[in-house]
Amino acid sequence: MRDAPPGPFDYSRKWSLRLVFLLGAVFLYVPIIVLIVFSFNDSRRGGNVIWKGFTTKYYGRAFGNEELMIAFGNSLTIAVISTIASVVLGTLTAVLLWRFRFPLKSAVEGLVALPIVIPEICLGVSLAMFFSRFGWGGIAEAPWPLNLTNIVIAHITFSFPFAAMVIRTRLASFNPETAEAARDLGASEWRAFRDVLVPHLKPGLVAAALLSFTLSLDDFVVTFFTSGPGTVTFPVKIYSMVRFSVTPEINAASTVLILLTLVLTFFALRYQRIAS
Amino acid sequence: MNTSSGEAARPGSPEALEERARTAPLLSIDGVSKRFGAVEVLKNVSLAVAPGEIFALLGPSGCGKSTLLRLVAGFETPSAGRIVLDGEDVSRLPPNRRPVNMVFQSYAVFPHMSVAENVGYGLSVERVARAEIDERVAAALEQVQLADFAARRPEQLSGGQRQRVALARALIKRPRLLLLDEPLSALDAKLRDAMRLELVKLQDTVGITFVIVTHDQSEALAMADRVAVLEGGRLRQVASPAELYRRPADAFVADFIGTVHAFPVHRIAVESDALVLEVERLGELALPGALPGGCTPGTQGADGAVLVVRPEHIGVATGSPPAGDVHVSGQLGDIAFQGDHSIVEIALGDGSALSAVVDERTGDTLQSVGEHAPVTAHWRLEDMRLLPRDAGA
Repeated sequence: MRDAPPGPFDYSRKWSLRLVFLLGAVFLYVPIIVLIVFSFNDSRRGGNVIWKGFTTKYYGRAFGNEELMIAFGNSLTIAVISTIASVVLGTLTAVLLWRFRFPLKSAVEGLVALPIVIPEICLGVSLAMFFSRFGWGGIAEAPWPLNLTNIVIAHITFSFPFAAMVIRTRLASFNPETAEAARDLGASEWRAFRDVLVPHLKPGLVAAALLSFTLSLDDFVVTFFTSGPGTVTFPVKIYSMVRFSVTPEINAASTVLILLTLVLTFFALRYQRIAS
Repeated sequence: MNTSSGEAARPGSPEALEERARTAPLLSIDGVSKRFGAVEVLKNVSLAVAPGEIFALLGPSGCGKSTLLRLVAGFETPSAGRIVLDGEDVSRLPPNRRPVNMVFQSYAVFPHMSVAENVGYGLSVERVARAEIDERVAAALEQVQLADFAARRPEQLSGGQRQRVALARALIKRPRLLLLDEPLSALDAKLRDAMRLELVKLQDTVGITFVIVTHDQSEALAMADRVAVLEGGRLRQVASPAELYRRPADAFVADFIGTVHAFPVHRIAVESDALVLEVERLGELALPGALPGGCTPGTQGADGAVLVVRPEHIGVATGSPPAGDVHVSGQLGDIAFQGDHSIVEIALGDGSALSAVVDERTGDTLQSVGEHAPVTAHWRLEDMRLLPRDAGA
């Protein structure tokens, strides 16, 4: 056994590699931990990394900040709508590319994946130009939640390709004979889709939804270009607050967001474990 | 074999089924062709299936048999021709509107449903009342001996059990026709033999017509009442297993059903009462009277004809062969002992070889003669058949 090549887990026994791993983890997670810890710091300035004492007052202040809360509500609304739309569109796209053969199929596949690779700034600028060209810039004056339409469309644009990719991966393990069996047993195309294909896709749908939700929730660049003064989202609001001054209020608000993401991830993972 | 006209064939016999398939077919396929792009996978296939029979579609992979089954199920539509079920043209009906059910090669059991949910699926789609579904599911599971497995999940079942679920799921719909795509290919050898018998027994009990696709000739011969042999998208022959073996329509069928040695015929001439053939390796042969096989010198060029003989009809003699037998001399090769019989190799002068199936005693005798001894392979004239290479051409 001495001369056997090391297995994949044997590498973790080398102290040098353990150190690299540890440094990586520190680099990634310490800033987040610091952010959370200092949301409880009783200091007027969030940039001040000197511990002044424990307080939860900045949570109260964050929740009391009406503009911040509106932005938070906007972000959640946009995320929910664009997630639903992305999963539906992504599923349809994935099924289309998986099931049918048609001319220029590879070109369509490339086009679908384009928003994944295209720089976000380009997408943001092009969408901003698109909306102003068609006079949709004024939509921001419309009553809530219609004023969020532009942002929702923008978010669907960049998140549905991710959803399509995840769902397509799941489709690869689908046995097409089961759908045919359903048809053979009397099911219409729609029944076969609903009764056989969707249950198979479920873990993929959950993963796609989670991915779309987080992509939408923390998007800054594209949102920045497509939002108006009346349609501020959470990341855009935080950015404007940071420019003014960094207060522990921002730490508190960010902590709430992190907590929300963690809870969602936890439920998604648990659901997937039950499903499999 | 042939029943004289007027005399009724025994019910259930291949002749009776053939008669019914002609006069009152359950399924008839009329001149069906299927093209996928530039590839024609079925070329003008016509056949009829009688109610109550087990009909096998047999052929090597890529012969079009699975496509034919999918056409009957409704997953494909014919490029030309008609598929008529019970007098109704179903060629354009979608699969969910055909009174036909299928057992898929992968069994296609729904992985997210229990055994009972799988079996009841076809009924719940039909909106049959819950109580009736439960009752019929229980009966169907009883029929395939899975009564205790109703609550199980598919991943907890063996391959054989999954197949039973697929069978029960299809049979519960009481189809006019049950299609089975390579039903035994995914099972291990021992289970396969048991399942063969069980399928035949089940068909007998439920009385539903089975159409089975298989590439395994022994499976087709053992299970089917009648067999259609397909090759290269064309129908070569439809006949009972015995007929296929004894009277193959062409050299392909002869070789596919069992094995044959084929000798190309170079020249066919009619001389007074006999037919004179010049055959490769056998030289000139004079065949008296009628031709064995479906080949006539007028319609078949000599290049298209072969003489075939089966290894089990070849005898091996150390001395002179029985008078009147066709014979060819060679050297004794390997003798493979198989228990009740032995397979003897005979090397012919030109580097080719014949194999003969001989009984235990002859095998022993030949064993004592020793390898390379001069021997004569011989067979009776009537065991030989003169066949076209391709009956469909």
